[in-house]
Amino acid sequence: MNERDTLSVLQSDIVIPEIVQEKANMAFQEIHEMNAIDRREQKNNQMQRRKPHMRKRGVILFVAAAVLALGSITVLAAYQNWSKSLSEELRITEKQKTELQEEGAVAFAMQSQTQNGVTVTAQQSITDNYFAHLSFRVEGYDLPKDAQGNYAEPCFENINIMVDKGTDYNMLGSFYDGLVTGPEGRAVYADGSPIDYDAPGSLARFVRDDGSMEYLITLYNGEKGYFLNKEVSVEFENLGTVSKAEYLKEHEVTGKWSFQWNLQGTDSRKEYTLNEPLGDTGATVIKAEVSPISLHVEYNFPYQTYMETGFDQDGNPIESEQVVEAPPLAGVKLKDGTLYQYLCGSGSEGYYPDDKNTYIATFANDRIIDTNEVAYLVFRKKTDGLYSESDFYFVPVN
Amino acid sequence: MENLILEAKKGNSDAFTRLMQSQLQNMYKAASAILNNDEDVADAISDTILTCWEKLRQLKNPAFFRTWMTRILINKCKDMLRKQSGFSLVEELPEQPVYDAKYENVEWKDALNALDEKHRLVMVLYYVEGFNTVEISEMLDMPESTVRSRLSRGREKLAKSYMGGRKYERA
Repeated sequence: MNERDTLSVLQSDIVIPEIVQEKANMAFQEIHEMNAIDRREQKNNQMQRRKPHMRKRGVILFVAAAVLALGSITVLAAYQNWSKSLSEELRITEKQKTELQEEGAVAFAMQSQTQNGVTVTAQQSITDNYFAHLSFRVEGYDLPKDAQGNYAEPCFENINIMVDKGTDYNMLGSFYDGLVTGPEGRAVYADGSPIDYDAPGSLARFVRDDGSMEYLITLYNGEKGYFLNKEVSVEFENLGTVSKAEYLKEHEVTGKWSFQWNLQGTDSRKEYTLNEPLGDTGATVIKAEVSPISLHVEYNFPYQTYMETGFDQDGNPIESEQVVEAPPLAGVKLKDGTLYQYLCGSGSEGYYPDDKNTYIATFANDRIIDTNEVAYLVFRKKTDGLYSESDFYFVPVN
Repeated sequence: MENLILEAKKGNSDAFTRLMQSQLQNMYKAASAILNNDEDVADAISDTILTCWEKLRQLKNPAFFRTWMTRILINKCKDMLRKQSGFSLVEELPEQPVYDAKYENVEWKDALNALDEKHRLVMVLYYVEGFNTVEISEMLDMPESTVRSRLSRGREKLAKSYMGGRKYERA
């Protein structure tokens, strides 16, 4: 065999060893089981949109409709102390904090509970027509390290949330890990430093300099105004760690930490009636709402499907019907030329069940934006490769 | 693949399974360039699958999926090497690889072992996985010039192992 033959052999298909396929199948099974539990717990949205983008990270977060038994809550002094993690995650400037407060988007819960030495403080919420961001501070938990000195990933075993005594929302929650989206769409640390993927241990920075951690939750409902002035109740149960999607009790602190406050919130937004076709895709943007916290766009885009061939885990071809998607909403371009092409975070897109001509996309912004400075909505022409400005459709607004 | 990635990011576990299954060959080949038995490779791959599911939200651009997934896999393999006594980092693999008891892929493994250990991973990522030198430099966090020189030396050594160090001469 010569050099060329060697490389040719290396490039050829191989038989996946049985042990490799078996362990992969076990991982797939675990993921399917977790996901099945996840979806059973999500209440059907009246609009019956397509599956939302929001997923629950880490272990399953059990959301129950049971009445929460509130323990004793210490109401803290009414000082308006912004969550550091929420400020970093959403890149909120001091000016934006003032504006959000003045608009009524912000509610400071400032309630604290201590169980078995761990104090959880409900800090604040930021709410608009479609989303509510909640933040909680956790103190007194000694996050364990492994033999190599790397922190484990913290996790609450259960979280029960009710909005207006109901569970009609989608939810995403996790401990803040210090990672945000960088300018090229890749994760970077909140201070802008790049990630050293070869550094030993976890990339996540859960523990702040003062030893505390923060837990962030995002709630979503596609019905406009759903969260405004609603009471939210949040109960955390048991604090431990998670590894490979499994909750571990080894370093668990048992307890229930419960909170309740009014989200308040603002319906302040810029609303645009448009008639902008997106190239020759057949999609026309007809309406948009831009708030500091989220984007909501409606397209005229008649429902169509296509068949896609894939392969099951035995290598057998399988066909599945896929929905043709409208050019995805990416973000905004500001008047000063700044392009936020990875602005759209959690949310959903799809059709109303009774209107197969109107395609809706609603996403939380990955940072707070100044709506007065938005010049264009930005849509992607393609979903692969690296992007330059020619790979976007720009729809003027202001 | 882009549609599978987008569907998986929405929480579709069937799409995620199809996506990762389609990458199983690539993952096996890359992990085999670092770890020397199929059981360890199997563990590294299953850990990678679970981590990718957990952290798919961090991936903003589907175009980076394969690079992102392979980087996770490489780090899992390195973690396993660190935990095993007597082994060090990927650039210093043991001299005598252990073969599995079964005889699957014998020719492929022979070909893999024909690659010089120091350059094996870079060669596999480039010639087998099809990553470019920029992507490899990001995955392994080494300068692109180092990636290119390792590719060059890796091929030299491979050629010499067959050609006995003979230079080609123009006809």
